[in-house]
Amino acid sequence: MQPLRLLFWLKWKLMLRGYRRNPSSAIGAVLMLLFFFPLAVVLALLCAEGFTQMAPPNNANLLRAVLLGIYLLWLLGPTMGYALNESYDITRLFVYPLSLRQIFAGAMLGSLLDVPVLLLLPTLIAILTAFTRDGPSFVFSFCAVGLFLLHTLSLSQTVILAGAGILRSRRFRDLVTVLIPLVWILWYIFTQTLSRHAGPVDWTTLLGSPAWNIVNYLPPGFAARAVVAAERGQYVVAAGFLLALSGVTVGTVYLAAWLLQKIYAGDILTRPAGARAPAPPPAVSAPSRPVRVSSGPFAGMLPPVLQAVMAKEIRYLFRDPYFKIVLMNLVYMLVAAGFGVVNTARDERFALLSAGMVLGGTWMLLLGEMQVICNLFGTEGSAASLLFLFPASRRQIILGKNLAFFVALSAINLTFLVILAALGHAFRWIGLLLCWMELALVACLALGNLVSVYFPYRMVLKGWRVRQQYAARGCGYSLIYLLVVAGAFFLLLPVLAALIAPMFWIEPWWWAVTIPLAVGYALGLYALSLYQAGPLLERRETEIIAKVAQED
Amino acid sequence: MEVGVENVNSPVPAEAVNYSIVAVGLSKAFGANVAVDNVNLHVREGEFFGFLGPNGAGKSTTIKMLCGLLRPDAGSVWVAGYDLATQPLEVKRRIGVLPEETNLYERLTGEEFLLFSGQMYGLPLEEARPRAADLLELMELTEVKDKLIVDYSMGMKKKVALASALIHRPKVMFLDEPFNGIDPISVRAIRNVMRHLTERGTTIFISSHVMEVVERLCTRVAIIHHGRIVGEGTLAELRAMAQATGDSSLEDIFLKLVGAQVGEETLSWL
Repeated sequence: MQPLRLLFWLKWKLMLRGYRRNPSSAIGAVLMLLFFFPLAVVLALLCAEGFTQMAPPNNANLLRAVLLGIYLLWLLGPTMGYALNESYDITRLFVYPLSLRQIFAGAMLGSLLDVPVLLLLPTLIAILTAFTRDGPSFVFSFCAVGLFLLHTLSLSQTVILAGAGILRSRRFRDLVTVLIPLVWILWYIFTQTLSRHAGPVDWTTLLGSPAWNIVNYLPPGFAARAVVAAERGQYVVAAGFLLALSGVTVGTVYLAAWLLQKIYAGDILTRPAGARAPAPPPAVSAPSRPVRVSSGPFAGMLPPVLQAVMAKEIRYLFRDPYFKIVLMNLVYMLVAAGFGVVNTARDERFALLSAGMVLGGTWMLLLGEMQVICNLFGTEGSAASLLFLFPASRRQIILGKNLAFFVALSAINLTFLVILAALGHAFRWIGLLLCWMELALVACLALGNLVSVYFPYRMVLKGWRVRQQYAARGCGYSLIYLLVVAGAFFLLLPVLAALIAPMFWIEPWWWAVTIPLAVGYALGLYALSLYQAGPLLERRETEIIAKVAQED
Repeated sequence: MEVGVENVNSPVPAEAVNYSIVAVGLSKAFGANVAVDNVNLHVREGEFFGFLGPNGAGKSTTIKMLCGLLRPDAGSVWVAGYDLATQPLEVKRRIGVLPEETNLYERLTGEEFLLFSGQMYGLPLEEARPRAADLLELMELTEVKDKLIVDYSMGMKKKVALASALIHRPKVMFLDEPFNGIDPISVRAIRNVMRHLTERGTTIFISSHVMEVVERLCTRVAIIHHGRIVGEGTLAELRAMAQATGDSSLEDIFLKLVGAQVGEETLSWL
């Protein structure tokens, strides 16, 4: 028990120190509790009402559904990149004479201290109060709920720790940054497609179906059946289900320890019997696939600094997992916007509305691109200190980054637009929409340069999830970001007006006047921003390094 | 001789012309913790200057301030005759820096990174390419030049960072713990490069815990402790300052000047 006690103490200390070292995260946790705890209580009260008011077997079905929901949330949360239970880096414990089972059990116990578990407590208490008939039934229900919680946390920890172990490999990490969002995008497409063809759900049939019966043989089903049996006074049956749940929980701990042993030993997959042991990994991996960066016919005319920055940025756009995640987010937006456009495009009468939906989609895309445009130095991370050691013109550094992003984002915008226009039968507007997107991109780059210099923040890659470091620093940065978005909106209004006004309120030939004016406006904004941002960057380099080079 | 490196207590831009590195009244605090406290340094051109101190003494903070990566709370710095506060780019054009933690663009290959560095120092690609090839050869990285830096070992990263700091032929080199994590063969190679550089007139400012290397290579040494310079000069001057015997090693002098009590006794239970 001593190691478990120590590991629990370690988790407690790390949590407290984390809050003490970073008061804003403590405030964030308190605010989260203040906001979510009442919600959790309301949810628990609703569940309690359902458990007590519904006639059997519906109350038992509700209990199973609630436990299944909790189970899936804890299990799938980590795969979405949102670990409900944070885990410390277990590899640091490998130097001590602890078995992986002990380390895992410690991590599982430690997760009881996490805020989401606190939010779960009202619902678990509601189950206990609703299904308790007498003393023995309370004991059985308490054991069932407790074991269910331990089992759920252990499974969740297995996913988190196994994920962390696998993600130690850079190649896996790079692959997963694309694969996981892809799975969720496919899931979104599947559910959207299904919901279009689905009729109203016949709950009575569903609850009587073999599919729902499967839940009975899953841990949430064991727990629910133990609780219901105890309430009915069938203590032997309840004990049987408790035994099954205990077996599954212990089995999970053993399975998790075995899995972690395999993963952390660098032996992820079991070898078939008789197969030869794999050769030791080479000191360094195979040569990287070169990204041919052609600077085009003007390469010789560009200053070396501009060439170097552009080439580096374009290589990073292909190789840095952060940009892969951003790209997948944009694909997700495309899918979401695509379904919206398809819905309106079904009817020919709504042709203009469909074009409007495509325009809305471009706004979404621009908002998604803003996180890159407005944080030019965030992805530099610790390399920012290297970048600012170079005696290069700061304007050229910014211009190089802007040009690389402009080329890459223009390609994305064009692809996005062609797909949306095809889905929305809005090809006749594509020229105008493309003009809008490109000018909006130039104006956003102009704004982004100043925002990047004044409000840089580090992008931290946690597994397959990108965390903005400012998220841990209270809501100040979020407010700034909202102001930036509002600022972008006002900056883009003249461009939008120049493109839309001739279509509705004046003659279309006015585009010959308004479009050059809009181009002049966007380029003017950009030139002004570049003129200002260069010297500003020179003055603020040390502050930028302090913000982006050090992780919280 | 008073402590504080030829004791310059006032800004001396005129003197800066005669020295490669001049720091006057350099101070930096992080909250209540004073990391560097009124440090004065004068390093001559072509000098191999050692900068020693125990862990947390303020060595890296000082180096970061000397090369413009950290803004000092007080004090001034001139490097190669240029004021770091007003002409930072002129300074950066003339220095090469190997920081303690190699912050590289790890998603570039070794060769791509060196070409990038060369161009960032203003070299045309056709000039940067042969220099990069030579440096990769010198650092024994030619075989791995096409692999991403993220897949390099720590020693390889250090060598590629050093190569990047050399590609523009700097007049002044700042090396913060250059031998950490490097194998003896590479240590020898780097030492030879540094010796060659000083022969060519390059000033080298090095911080290291490897006393033997510092003792063998450095012409002058400064020792920093608790953010203050506690000794500076040639080995003979430091010996006199520490009132040490003639055969005292740099390690003995260092321990004496920082007041470290290293007894012979050990733990009874160990």
